[in-house]
Amino acid sequence: MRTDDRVMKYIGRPRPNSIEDILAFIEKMRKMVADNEGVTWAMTLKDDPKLMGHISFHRLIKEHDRAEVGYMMHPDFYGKGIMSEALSAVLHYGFNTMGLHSVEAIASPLNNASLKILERNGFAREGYFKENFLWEGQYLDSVVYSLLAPKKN
Amino acid sequence: MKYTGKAPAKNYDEILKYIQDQRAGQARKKSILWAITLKGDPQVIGLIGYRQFTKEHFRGEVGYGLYPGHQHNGIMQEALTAVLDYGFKTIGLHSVEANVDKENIASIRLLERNNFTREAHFKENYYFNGRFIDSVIYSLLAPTKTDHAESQLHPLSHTHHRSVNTKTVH
Repeated sequence: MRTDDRVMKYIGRPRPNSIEDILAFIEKMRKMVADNEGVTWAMTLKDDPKLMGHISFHRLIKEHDRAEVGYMMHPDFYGKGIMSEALSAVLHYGFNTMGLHSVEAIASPLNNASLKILERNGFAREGYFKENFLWEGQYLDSVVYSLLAPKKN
Repeated sequence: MKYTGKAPAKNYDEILKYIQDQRAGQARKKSILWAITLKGDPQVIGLIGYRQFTKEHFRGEVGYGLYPGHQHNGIMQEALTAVLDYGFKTIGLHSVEANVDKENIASIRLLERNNFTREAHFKENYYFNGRFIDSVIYSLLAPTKTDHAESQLHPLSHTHHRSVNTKTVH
């Protein structure tokens, strides 16, 4: 997944070059969870152990009850509403179990597929930063979408 | 301190800790802060600096404040101009951002006068004093060489475009 250009095209993170790189990434995720700095889920089809993708709150801003959500999925599963379903479940967990007040997502403004998933889940575009991200010698724009916890009635 | 989202210092120890934290931050090049004084007068009337950097993206966050007796006199305009110049030319920043309270009209006017553009309005992303408040982010890109030449000819003109745009409005 992390070496597939279709997945990584809009993600400004280095591609893994070896199994060691992937193991290092898995360890980084494990440590994040162990240190209570984030939470991550694997995505699979019901009763199928094969990994389709993952989704996580990988950056917590604890003092403001806010977290950043991130996700990726193998292209074989695109176009079926799966990521939207996963995001919906994760947001429910974030607001109801973790008690978050708000969630944000940061993306490339060109990543239309991902932006649609956010919009489908009620996120609003709240920021557009020009050239705030340096990647492979070029300054790129970022867009930030946010969602507030549903009001308790 | 009204718009800073931080409580005023309650005692001398808090102030000393603030100074120590600033010294430590500057030593590790994580931030840089300047005192503002009137020429020839050692009394500090305000502060301005880069509160933090995102070094891998050559971006800094500017923050500033002036004692009430010295506000609205053009002092912060002068200080901000100098600090932006230092940020772009000496530190080599590509962009600068400022995080303001949307009610802080004076600060917003100052940023707009210096060609910052409002790039974000985050609703309730900041918890302070028992409530969630909004943040508004203004940003400025490093001037391109063409813009720099133009700004020397027309130092008081301002545009609503990003600074890399070579059109100016008079």
